[in-house]
Amino acid sequence: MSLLQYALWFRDNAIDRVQRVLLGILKAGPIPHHVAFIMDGNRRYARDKGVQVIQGHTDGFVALRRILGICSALDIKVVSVYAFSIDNFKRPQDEVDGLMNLAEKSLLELCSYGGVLAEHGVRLNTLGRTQLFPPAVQEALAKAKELTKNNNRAVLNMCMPYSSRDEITTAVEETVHDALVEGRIEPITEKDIEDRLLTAKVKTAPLDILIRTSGVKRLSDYLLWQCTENTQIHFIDTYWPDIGLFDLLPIILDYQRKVWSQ
Amino acid sequence: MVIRLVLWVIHLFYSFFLAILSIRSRYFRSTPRPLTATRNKSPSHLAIVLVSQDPDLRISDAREAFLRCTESAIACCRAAGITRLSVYDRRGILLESFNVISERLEKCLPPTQDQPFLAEAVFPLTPPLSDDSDVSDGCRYKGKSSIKTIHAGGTADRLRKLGRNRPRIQHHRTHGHSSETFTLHLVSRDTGKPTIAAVTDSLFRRAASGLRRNAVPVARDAELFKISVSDLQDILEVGDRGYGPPDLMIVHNVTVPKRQSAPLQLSSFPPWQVRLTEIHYNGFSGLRDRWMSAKLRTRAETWIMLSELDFRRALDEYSNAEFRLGK
Repeated sequence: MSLLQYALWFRDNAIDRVQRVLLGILKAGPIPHHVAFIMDGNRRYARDKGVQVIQGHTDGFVALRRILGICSALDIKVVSVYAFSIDNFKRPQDEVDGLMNLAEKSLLELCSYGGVLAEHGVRLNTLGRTQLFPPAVQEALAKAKELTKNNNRAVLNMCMPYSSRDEITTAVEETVHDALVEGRIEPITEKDIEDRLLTAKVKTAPLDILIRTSGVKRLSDYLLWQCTENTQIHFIDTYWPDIGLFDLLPIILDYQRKVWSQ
Repeated sequence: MVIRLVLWVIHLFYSFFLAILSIRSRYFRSTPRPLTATRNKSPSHLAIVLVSQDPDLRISDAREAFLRCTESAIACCRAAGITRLSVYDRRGILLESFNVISERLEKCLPPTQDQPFLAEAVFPLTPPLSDDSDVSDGCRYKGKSSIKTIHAGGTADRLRKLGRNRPRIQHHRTHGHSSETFTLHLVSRDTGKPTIAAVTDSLFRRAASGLRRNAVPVARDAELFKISVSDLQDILEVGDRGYGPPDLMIVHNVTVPKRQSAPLQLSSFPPWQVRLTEIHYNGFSGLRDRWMSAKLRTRAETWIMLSELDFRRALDEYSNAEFRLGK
């Protein structure tokens, strides 16, 4: 091994050890149950690096694996990610096709033996209108869910293709349908709608923290019903493929401060 | 025990770091452009979300502070040429002060020819009548008002046209006090999830009435009711009874947060309307505010007024924001 290679190995090792120690220390305080991510910035990251857009998405998948590892080490029980919006189908066809191929490959990699979900005992849920995906992706999703159905340490909700307004509208529709079938007398309440949201159907804990990367300060139709009450919302400048523990550190510390002050 | 101590030390360093950020945020940021400056884009609808971190907040104490923040926001909007403003507080304190706000707004806006002022309480939404319905009154909800709207200035014709769809983003070429109608919405939590529940209830009762009238058998696996996203959007957003989404939201802490930096929370703002809203928030409380709060022994006695500087900063951020809409 050359001196440079040894220096890089030593640096990576040192960073890895520091991160593990830090994660162990953070766990001594309150940890959120449910954290959601809007994984934004893959294309701008690719543009800045001078690589193809699909490389940005591929590096974004690597970042997802990294964040899942961190969340698992912190014992965060539920992670939700905005993997693909219904509006994303409006993107150029070659980009959409590339994303579908990446989704098919990545899902199987995530869920296979030795993959990150198996390693950390994470069960996969998909929230969204999966019937809009090509058959190959739907098959990969079904297989991935089957492979992880017995995992019980944590849950990963992949929202794809998803939009919050679609979720709320479907919940309204189902609420009216069920009320008609039951011949309901008493008025419909917020709870009736909330119980029919996609997150409720997979019995997900209330959302504690929502993080959007890339500096954009909008919710973009993600978990709107779930995040407007007691959720801490963080907009960070880091592009999604670059996200790491030191981006999450102030967010976890803020959460702990909030819990201690209540 | 040792690990907890180390965690405590990390929090101590973090507090120190936040104090530095707070000072930088207050004294070393670049000066935002004036209210009347030309910007790439300006919001046509701005929302101010007034948040208090104080769980023991007394409504009587908060009312005057909220009213002053509202007046400040109106003045800034008028100067910047923004013609639609929502002011939100979770508990509806401003809704209860509707008459006071109407009087104060009337004093600061110029009179017009026929109807200088139109202040109305808008009841929660009723779904539009279907084409083949013979129910003339629909299923009206007779409960508490969830949003109150004041239209001021402009002409009677312009007032009648209000509520139709408008472009989301205006490109301003002239500024200063506008002769256009100024619309102020007073909004509370009830405008959000409770309204969606009330609309759902109306839809259910209308559908049930239709099924009974047409003697349609009710089966669990039958498709008894359908509604699209655009239909629900029309009910919730469009027309005189709708509440359209703000382009830009400024979340403002009116009381000093317990910590130097309070993370952003939306305080139960209507979820449907916040889909594409640009959110501006400065969670840092100034050292002077915190010192004053400590001196007065109660945070509720130190109100943080919405400043023109915050307003200008929010407009600058909005003008630089990119809207890709999923593409």
